[in-house]
Amino acid sequence: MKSGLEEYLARLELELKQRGLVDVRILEEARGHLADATEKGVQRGLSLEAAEREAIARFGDPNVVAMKFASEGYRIRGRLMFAAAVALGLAIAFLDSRPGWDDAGVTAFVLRLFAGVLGAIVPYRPWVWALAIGVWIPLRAFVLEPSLSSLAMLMVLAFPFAGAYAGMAIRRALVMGPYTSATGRPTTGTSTLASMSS
Amino acid sequence: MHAERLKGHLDLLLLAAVQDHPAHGYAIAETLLARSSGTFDLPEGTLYPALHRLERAGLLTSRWSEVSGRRRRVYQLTAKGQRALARQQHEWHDFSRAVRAVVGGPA
Repeated sequence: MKSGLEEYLARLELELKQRGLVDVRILEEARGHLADATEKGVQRGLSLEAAEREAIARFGDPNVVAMKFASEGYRIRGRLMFAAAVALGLAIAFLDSRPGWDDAGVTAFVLRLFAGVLGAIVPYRPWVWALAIGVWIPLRAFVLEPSLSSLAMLMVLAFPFAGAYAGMAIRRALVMGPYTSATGRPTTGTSTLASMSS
Repeated sequence: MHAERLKGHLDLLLLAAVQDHPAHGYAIAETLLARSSGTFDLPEGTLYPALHRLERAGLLTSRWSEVSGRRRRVYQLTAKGQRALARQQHEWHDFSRAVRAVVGGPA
């Protein structure tokens, strides 16, 4: 069963996602803040449950916190990124369509690279970045010649998908990193609280 | 104090809270509460959007750091932030002096 803090963080994540806000750092800072506040509450003599409830109440309604992030410009960054992804994808498709361009390996590399960079910058819904960058080459092929063999060009999407998911995984690993408790043991947010109360 | 009243002053308060030494979000919230004797009792989660905005504006910088055995994002004033803080402190003192002069009451 999830602890009160984990449930709160899951609600906060949902509220952030519903506003198109994606930043694992926000959740990690919230997790650290709530752990600190809970620890202080326990030190003041509260039970773990009461300390968690107080920490959550003081942090604020997840809806209000997410709204505040939305109003501080995070949504704009997401939209700009999407526009940049579409522009990049169109540019790559244009270059790939040039008669003088016959290096499919470079196209595949560039699709994977840019999707990876976008997946790393906004590590959420990597399929959006993969499609925004990679859909244009198969789309162009199908529009020019609607056939099953053109549909096979959808295979091209494997490259940006691989890149975007790899970028997301790298970013999440870098931002979140391994948690280390006071005893030096790798731990999760929940077991940090467990070790705190013992 | 109602959060609405803090609008326009929050940046100054946050910059001032990390003036003496770098601090993570929870410590900043504690500092605001303690220095204001409990008056600035904001929903603590709403401090983070403002901290992130100040960082994007180049007034703060942040890094992950080990605090009491746990990883915390620690915020620090940049040179630009120090200049902004000095300017905002000056403006605030002028403003509060003028308000006091009009409103009266205890200094």
